[in-house]
Amino acid sequence: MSLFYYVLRRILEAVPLIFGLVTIVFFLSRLLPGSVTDALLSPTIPETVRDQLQRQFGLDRPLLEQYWVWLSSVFSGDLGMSLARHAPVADIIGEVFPNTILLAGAALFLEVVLGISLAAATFFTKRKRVEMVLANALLVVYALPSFWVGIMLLVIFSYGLGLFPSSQMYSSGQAGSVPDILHHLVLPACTAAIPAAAGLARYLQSNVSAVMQQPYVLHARSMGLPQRKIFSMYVLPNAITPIVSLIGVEIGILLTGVLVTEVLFSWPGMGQLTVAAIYARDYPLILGCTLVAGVVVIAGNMLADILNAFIDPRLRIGG
Amino acid sequence: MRNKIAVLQLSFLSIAAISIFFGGCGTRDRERAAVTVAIEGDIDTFNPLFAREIVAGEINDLIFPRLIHPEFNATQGSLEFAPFLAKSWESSNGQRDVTFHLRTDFRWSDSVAVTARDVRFSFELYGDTIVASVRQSAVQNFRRTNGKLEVGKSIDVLNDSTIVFHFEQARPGQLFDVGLPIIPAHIFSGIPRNEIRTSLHNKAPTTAGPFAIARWNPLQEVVLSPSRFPYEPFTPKLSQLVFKILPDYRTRVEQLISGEVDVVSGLRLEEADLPSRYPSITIISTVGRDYDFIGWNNIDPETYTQTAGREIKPHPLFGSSRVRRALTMAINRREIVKAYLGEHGQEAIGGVSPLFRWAYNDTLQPLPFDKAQAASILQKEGWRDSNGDGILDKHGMKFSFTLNLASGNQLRNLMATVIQQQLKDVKIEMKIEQVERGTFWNNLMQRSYDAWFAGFSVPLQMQLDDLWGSDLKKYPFNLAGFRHPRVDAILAEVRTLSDETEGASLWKEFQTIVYDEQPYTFLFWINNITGVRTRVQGTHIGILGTTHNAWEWRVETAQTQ
Amino acid sequence: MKRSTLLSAGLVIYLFLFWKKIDEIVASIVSLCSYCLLTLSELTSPATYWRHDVWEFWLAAVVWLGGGVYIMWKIWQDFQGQTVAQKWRLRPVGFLAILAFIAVCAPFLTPIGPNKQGDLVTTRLLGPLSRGALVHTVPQDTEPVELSSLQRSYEKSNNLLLQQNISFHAQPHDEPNETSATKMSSIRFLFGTDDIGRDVFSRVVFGTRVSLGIGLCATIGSLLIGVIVGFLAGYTNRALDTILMRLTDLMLSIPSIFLVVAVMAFLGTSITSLIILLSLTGWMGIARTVRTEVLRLREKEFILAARLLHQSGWNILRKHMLPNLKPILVVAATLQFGSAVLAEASLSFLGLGIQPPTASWGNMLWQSLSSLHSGWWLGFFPGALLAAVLIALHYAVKDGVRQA
Repeated sequence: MSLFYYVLRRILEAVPLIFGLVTIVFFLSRLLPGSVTDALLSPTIPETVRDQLQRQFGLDRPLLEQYWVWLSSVFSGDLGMSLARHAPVADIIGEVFPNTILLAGAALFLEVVLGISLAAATFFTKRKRVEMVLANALLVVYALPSFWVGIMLLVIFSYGLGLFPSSQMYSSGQAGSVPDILHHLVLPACTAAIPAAAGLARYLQSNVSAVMQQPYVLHARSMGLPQRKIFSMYVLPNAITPIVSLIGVEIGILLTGVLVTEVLFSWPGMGQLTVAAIYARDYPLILGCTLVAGVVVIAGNMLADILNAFIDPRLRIGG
Repeated sequence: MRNKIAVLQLSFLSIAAISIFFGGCGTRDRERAAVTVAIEGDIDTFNPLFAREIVAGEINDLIFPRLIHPEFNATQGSLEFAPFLAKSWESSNGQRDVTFHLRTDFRWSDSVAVTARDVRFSFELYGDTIVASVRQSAVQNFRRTNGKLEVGKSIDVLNDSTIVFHFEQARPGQLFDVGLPIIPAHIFSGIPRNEIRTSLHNKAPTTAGPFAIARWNPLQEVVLSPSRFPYEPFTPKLSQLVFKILPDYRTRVEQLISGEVDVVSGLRLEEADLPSRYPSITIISTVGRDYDFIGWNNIDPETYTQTAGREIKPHPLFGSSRVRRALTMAINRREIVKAYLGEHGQEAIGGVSPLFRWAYNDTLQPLPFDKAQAASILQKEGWRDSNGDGILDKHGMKFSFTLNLASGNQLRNLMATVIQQQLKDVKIEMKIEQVERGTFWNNLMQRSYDAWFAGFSVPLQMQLDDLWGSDLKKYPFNLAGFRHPRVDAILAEVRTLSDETEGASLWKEFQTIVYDEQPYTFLFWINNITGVRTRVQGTHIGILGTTHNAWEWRVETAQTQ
Repeated sequence: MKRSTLLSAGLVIYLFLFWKKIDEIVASIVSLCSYCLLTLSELTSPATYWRHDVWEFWLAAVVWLGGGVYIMWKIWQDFQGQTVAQKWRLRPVGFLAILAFIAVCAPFLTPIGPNKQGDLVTTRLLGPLSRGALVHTVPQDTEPVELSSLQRSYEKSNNLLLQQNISFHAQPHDEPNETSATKMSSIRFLFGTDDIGRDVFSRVVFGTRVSLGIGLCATIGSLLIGVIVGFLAGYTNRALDTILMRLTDLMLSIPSIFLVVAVMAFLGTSITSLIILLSLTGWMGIARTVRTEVLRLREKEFILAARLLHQSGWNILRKHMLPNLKPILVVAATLQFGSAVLAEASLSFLGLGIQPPTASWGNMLWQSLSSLHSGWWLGFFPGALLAAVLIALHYAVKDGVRQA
């Protein structure tokens, strides 16, 4: 099967998936106790006002009908109006999503770079002791909670040394200045990337040691090829296959918003938006966020699978 | 070996390069007379009809005109009103009609004059059920036409600068009700009423207050600048007032220390000694309107839910006021206050704030912490540990319940744990369960919890019907389901007084009843601790909020270099 | 270091603690025996005498005595000259075994219950090794109920075990006098005290149970789901593969915060729902890697051979696939275990962590960071133990794989 058909099939498969996702979230969110009108109106306000608002939002109609209305509006490209924020859902998400992409992109970049270089570092170490220390350190770092990493980074680099700003995306009045945004990006990106990079390095490490036992590597070694060449030509490409799917998963997690990082650094991202929407029972916004998140995650996984299929053609047959 | 070093060097060098390169770029280009206030969450809307967030309300008060604005008389403990858009006002017809004379120099930001018609239009919207404003209750006391509330008919516009409000009854709180922000009629009259909620004008409003919105970056900051038209004496002395959104508590504190923000409210006790370490910070601790309490459901939640509120039975555990009294006595409130609030809190005896000095009953002392007496009261009520499992029981029912609290409040979490242990000492089993906020309030309003830990903020006006009225359907905030005919009578009587301070003795009696009945275990009044950098002068932070007089704020230039 | 030296050191510590806690151990045995006798002699329902807070003492006492016998047996063996092979390999396993032992015997290893609070003002946030005074309230016989001697001994031992109404105070501040109703003893806070005057050492020891338990259950849960889904997807037909992989994607794409709130609303915040939540959110990565691996493996000759011999899918999974999947599963399990313990800590952030007052390493770590005044000792000890467990686990499982 050619790669093109494989990609096409995956895209076609994604449609019912997203459909299932929004369906689940739609009904689950309606089942949550409380309603958006509770969040918008004080309980002392007369019942008639509440009913009127319910009618205005269309919440008084049967659930299935509401679902149908929402679904058909989505297919016509309209995500609806946020009930608690009084603005179109598409606009709200449009404002926030680029920030998340920025943070996720930076974090992913750092994660891959750090992960591969750490794995390489352990690979090239001749001394057993250094290797052991590195391997243990990776375990410990992976075990660090991201809130702890974030707070430590803040305490050292922001409050202590004053090298980086402690919060937000840009200095007041400097919106849009690229160096300023990058300066603000360093700490949150590191917070999201460091534990993940350690995990990645751990996976890589174990794969590398498995690949090292393979006959072709042994052969290459017996041929007297330099270590570097063996690593880059034989070991890495073979060890990386399962990693690619891991990264695909990672993309999804990062792009749907890393809540703790966002709160810690006042980063205006999807995580905070989604939580606020859930707390306010702002159904259209919950669904909007889920839809965007779902598409992103699925796209990330798809990308990983396609990459894997590209690297290893056997996988195309199976799935 | 060389390779390893190369790889490591590469990765570390690149990080170092990024940090050095951008380290120099963060120029803090703050304007001299700009003041930054840290806030926890974003603004929901700039339309006072719908603003639910407290900060949004505070900002709206700065960018929209109000007829009058409140001032708190701390010595008397009562609310007074000062002119704002209205130069003066007088009441007639037994205080049921109030005539306001408006200033003529107020202009909307699009240069249209602010007139009495804007005022009437605004209140029509506040009262319109189609609009469904949050501040609906403000117009409930307006004069009714043929028994129906028609706001437009209970407000007479005599000319552009004179307006008369007609009230159904003369009430002490009526001036407070008419102090809501005024919105521009020429903008909103063209929009269908049911679309006002989603109008784009709510994001970029036409304003006419001391300040105007310079910009709003969602989830980042709101920047206010002085409005185009100066209105003495409300002309701001600041060049900018920035509200910076910082959801994390630590960040707010650190930025106060570093000077990135000037004002932070809601500090914890640990930060109260900041001035001793950083002389450029002052701490303002004001007796707040907030109290924390343990709620005991006085009524049986199951019966209430099953009969949809038609039938009310006393709660099997907390139905008796003596049991509730014993529970209060088993909780060491003094120790909790001492350990967690220090001098920034005080034990509470009831729901009337000590701020309202004229109404506060200072003859009542908090119930003593006395485990032995609590135990003996419980024993007299028939609760004893008959099977030796360490938990009291009566007719085969254990004295065991779950305390619910909304998640995310670390201090309450700790205190709940302390209380749990103290109740265990009198052989009562209390489980703790944190619940997500939306779910928590929903279940609380449906009266389905046995016990809960929450806080309340009392209104600026002494109007406590919502919290204490016996009609449980009408007053959902009477969370405990507390019903007492005398309290109802008192609440009805104080409502008819035109001068609220006349009701002092009634309020004191009310507190005595609540004290005897103990529908809740009142824990403490908690101060609002605000950190302000000393360069900001003229603040008046108190129960009216943080920025209520922001036009008087100024920056001490000597300290800004 | 020789194995026998280690064991002897263990024996010394064991005997020391045995001597310190002899009264409680005896009381537990007495309580257990009298419970059995009571149930046997009266033949009433055991529930009348069943005390939910006492059985953990019974279990601890049995394991405690068993552990002692085991150590002595091993030392005896050593002296007999039977050196046990693979002693290096046993180290991480031994460490985990000791932790498990600690988790079960927690009541005898701690000077005071994990949730007992001291005086809030004077016993708050004391540093490690500071001293305090324990005030015991002597239980008084208030109930003039006729009790048989068996019942009385049962009640008495239970009272001793639970040490009702202990409150304690810090030393320098006040030294309450002994009265007829109280008894004094001294306590040393090895790891200091926390925000509400609880002994951090006791909380860490008791937290071992919760953290290891949750980590274990959640890891097993996600491994089970992940392996089954991954195997079915990779091994059986393509339609099922597509469905299962889309299901995995579906689970991945539901925002986890949404799942958290939903689970909280419907299942409440019990430990069970926590484990369910962690298992539900942890299996997808495993399933994906397992599937990739299975796809690779199923083309191998030995699998083809097994299939030609018409072995059942279950047998192929068990006999041929799992051994080859092990390296991946080992890494996945260690990582999953760590992240499950940590996820519990992060969930405290939203209120769905372990509910107070129960201690877990995760929520202790979180609490230590969320209040500024906290001393370093609040987070250090649970954090260090967590790291140690992860490393030990890794090596233990790695050795296990090497042996397999």
